Amino acid sequence: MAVSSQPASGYRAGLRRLWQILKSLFARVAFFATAITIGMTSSWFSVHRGLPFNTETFGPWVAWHFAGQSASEPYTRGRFAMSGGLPLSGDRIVRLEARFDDDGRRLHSSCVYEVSGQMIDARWWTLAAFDSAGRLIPNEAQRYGWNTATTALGADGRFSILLGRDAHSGNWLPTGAAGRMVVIFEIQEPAVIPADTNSEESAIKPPSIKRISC
Amino acid sequence: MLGRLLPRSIRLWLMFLIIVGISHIVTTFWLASGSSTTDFRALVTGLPSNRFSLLETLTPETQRLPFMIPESHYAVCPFDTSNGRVLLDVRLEDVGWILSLHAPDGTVIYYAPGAADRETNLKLVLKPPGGRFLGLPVGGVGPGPEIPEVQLESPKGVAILRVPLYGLSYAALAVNALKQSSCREVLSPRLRTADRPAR
Repeated sequence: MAVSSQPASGYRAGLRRLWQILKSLFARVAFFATAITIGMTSSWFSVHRGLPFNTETFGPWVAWHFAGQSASEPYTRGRFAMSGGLPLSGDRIVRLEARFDDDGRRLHSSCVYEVSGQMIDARWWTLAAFDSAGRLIPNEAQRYGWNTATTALGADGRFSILLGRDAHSGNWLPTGAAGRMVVIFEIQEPAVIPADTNSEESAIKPPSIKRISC
Repeated sequence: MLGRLLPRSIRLWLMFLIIVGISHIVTTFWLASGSSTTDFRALVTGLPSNRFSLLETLTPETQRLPFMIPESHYAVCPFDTSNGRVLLDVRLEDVGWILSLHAPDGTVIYYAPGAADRETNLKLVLKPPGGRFLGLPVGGVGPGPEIPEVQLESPKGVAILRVPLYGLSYAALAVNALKQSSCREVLSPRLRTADRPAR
């Protein structure tokens, strides 16, 4: 009997040893995988959303300080390599980007938004809507954006642009079936540049983006 | 040595943070080395070098790059200074007009917006990288003003002239002004002769 039980206990010990090795291996793999995933995800978010040192936010709008600049840091370079395009930025051109409305909800073509504000103290501005890949949104009206010259102002000097699928009177920017949207607001030669905005009075006041209906 | 002084849990946390940091840095640089050159190629494909080409009116079908500002006309000159300097002669007629020069990686080399209520005649000489002598400065012989030079870091790039649409009635005017802009090679005296390299 003793002779026959010896291989069985050796077999069990071997299994136990194998289980411990697998457990240790799994713990190591999980350890490395978790660390790598956190590192990659934090990088993706930093590149996609920006960080306080390379972006400035004005409500739902985000300006990337170093877009297109030769000395730009890797987050900004990564951001524009991902989103594409040849961005222009500098002290004479400010490009603001919005992916969310004033309440932090993702902009979507199934909703109607009102982009409104005081006339910007700048030589020129353009507002345009794109799908999430940066493509213009096809529409029968062939209207893809509004600018200083084409936007009709209200009696109080304010402007209001409606973004939505269905036609509206006034400044209507069709959003078709774009799905998630990005709105770009480009300001040329603003009276104040974002880097100089230390006080509330002097800061650029980009328009608000309010969801009207969905 | 340090590893033996620290408790195992702290060593593990340190190792964890180091791996997070390395993976964050590697991912960031990998994303930064991405596809701006692809966008550059998409923009200049099919366009002749050292000449402004007027792009079709911007629509979803004709859009060459993501996030191109609509309600504008674009003239694009893919410049190549491999054989010598390139002279840009552009007229920015009004506010909203922009000339921008981009390197193949998307970096902005230079940009100039137009001013309100007056024309800006802009002449620029694009100099290739390196210090080779390419003749006297353009316009620099005699009392005439010298044309400002832009030293490039890469021999190739693209000049984009953007003209906003003030309204449909201005479209023909804008197109006409874009057609008058020029972008051409300025050959050095030596290269003007038979030494000129074959293309």
